[in-house]
Amino acid sequence: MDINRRNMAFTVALFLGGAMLLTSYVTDITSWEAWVPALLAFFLSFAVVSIYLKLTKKYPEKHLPEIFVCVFGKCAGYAVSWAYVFFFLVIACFNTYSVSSFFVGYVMPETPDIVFTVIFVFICSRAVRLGIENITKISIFIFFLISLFIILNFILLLSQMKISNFLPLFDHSFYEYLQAAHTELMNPFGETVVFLMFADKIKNNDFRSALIWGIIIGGVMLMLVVIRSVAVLGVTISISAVPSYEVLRLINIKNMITRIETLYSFLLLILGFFKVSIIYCAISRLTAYLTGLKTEKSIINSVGAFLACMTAVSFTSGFDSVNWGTKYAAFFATPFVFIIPCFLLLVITVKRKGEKAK
Amino acid sequence: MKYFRITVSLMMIMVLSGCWSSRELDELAVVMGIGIDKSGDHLECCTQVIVPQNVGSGEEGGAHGEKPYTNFITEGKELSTCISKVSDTTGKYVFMSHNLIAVLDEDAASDGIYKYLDYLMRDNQLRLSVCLFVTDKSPEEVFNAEAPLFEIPSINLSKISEGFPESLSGQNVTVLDFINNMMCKKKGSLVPFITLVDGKIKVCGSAVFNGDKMTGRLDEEDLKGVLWIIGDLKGGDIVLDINNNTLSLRIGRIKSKTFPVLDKNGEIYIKAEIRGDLYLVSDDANMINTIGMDAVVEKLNQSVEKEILTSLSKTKKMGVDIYGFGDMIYRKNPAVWRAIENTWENRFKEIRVDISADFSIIETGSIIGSVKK
Repeated sequence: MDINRRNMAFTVALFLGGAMLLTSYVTDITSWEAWVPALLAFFLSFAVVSIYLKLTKKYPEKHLPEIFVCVFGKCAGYAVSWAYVFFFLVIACFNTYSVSSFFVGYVMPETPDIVFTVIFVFICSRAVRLGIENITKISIFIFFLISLFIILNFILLLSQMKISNFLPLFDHSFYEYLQAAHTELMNPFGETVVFLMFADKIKNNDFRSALIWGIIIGGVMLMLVVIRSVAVLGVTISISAVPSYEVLRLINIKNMITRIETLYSFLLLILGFFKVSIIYCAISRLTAYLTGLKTEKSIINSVGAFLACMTAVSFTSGFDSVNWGTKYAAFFATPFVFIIPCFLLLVITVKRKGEKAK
Repeated sequence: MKYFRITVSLMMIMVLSGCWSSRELDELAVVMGIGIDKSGDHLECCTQVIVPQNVGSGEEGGAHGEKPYTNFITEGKELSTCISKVSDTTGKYVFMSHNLIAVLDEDAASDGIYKYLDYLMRDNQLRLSVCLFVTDKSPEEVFNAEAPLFEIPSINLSKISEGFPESLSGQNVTVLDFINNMMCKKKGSLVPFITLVDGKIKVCGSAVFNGDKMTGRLDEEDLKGVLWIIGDLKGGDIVLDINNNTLSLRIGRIKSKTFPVLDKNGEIYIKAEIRGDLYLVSDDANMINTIGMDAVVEKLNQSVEKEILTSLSKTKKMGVDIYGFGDMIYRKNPAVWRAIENTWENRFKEIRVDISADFSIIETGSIIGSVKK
């Protein structure tokens, strides 16, 4: 097996950490109570992930399209798999655009979007060429860097945090919590469906524990970021486009430790690179499998070019992508993240029962 | 393939090193402060820009005795267009990232500052920690004020604002604080009010905002009473009059706790508890030994309670909830707040506030008794 359990767990955690840039999708709906849907989504994610784990248990060491073909047959299996290619492309493109628009908006205002996107995708393509095994190998080091930074800025912001910013508790409607939790559950927790593409590269038992531990570690990291942002910004968090970045701009320790947000933007870039590379890897593997290629290496550049073009034309502005992320992304992802895997599990269970009865 | 890789790598070095968006220091007009002056529909903006070559080059302020800053006066319909015009005059890129303060004249403040705050919050370069001030002078005059210990008046103002918790003269209000207050439930805001005396900046109380509009002012004495409740006090001096003798105390640590209470009859009232440790700074009449420590503390408690009540009655008359009592009720009990929300303006004017001050003098200094025999 190519990937070990520890590397995989931290890769999953970093994959979830990639959503740090997108916390405004939840804070926009539930404002100072953003931690409630985040917590809810964290717990619900175990239910969603248990579906993926059952699928891999029933078809150990097979990746997602192989399971589809085994269960639905070649024709339907391929059709569903192509739909997943589209889904992965959309989320890769969405994440690429988010990183790109953040950098162009805050760090490199003169650089055109397209230049950043092309370079970003190009670097991801180099990583994908090295393979998922090598990407996962650097996960522990990157996780150490990111968590150290989060803990450090949490401490630096302690003096600006107010407990009263969390009050009143549970003042939003049930529908608002549900909407925000749904958004958070589908993006990023549900996106871990992408790891089913690499289930054949890791021992089945290791995959189970890696996914669960990855979600626990990544979920706690996300919760910390949300709690920190609410504690500092209070109700203003609801109108902030990138709350996790905005709070760092407030750090000022005796006029000596200031402007550390540039460092954070660099870490966000690494997280974005990690997330997009993993999805990119999955798209390449899936496409290679569906087109009958032995290895995905020959199509990596083509997939990258397609991803860059799609990113360039899919959103017209940062506002456009935030609007899509808040209102539509979760609904778009639900069939791929929850409904199809559920249906797949149901069909497998019915089939197995039918076979047993025979 | 090899040449392709080399070409792409070179391209990456160019783009990813940030060269595309890079700007040399001499191409930038680094803004330290912005002033907003409005009369009628006419908006005038004073932008204080640093002159790097004149900074820190001698007592006179520069190598040739020149000021290390320049103020640009621009006009326009919107704040953003006014600031952009600085670029037209200087030919330099207006760099707002180091902006420390925003000074508003009374007319602009009375007219409503929401649209300025929108710009201050929306601009990616600006930070939410920009300090706000209101003045009765023109911002240009404020930006030309003498700053004895600082080369740049904007830095002087920013330091004044940072020092507020160490005194009883004002409250540091940033863009984030103001927006948070505006988004809270019917909460007013205080913004330090400054004027010029002998060409130097003087803080004289606070401007009172209802929503985004300035509706009144509190003088220094009234402000003190408010700060006991809402201020994050870490310093400041109190002068106590006892039997025609004065006694001076310095604040060491203040912990004020204000919370709404629902009584048995379903009526809401506010309880404010102020606890604090003070240091004795001067007691030339030896009051501590003459009437005793407990009596001094008792007089002190009464004096602070009276100060708070006086301010409270004035702010109640203004009808602006600068203490955030409404927001406290909402945070503690949203259902109760919803029932009274529509009538809050009237209720605030009549709300009962129970104040209890409990101070301790924890240090009497290096002498026992008094110099005077």
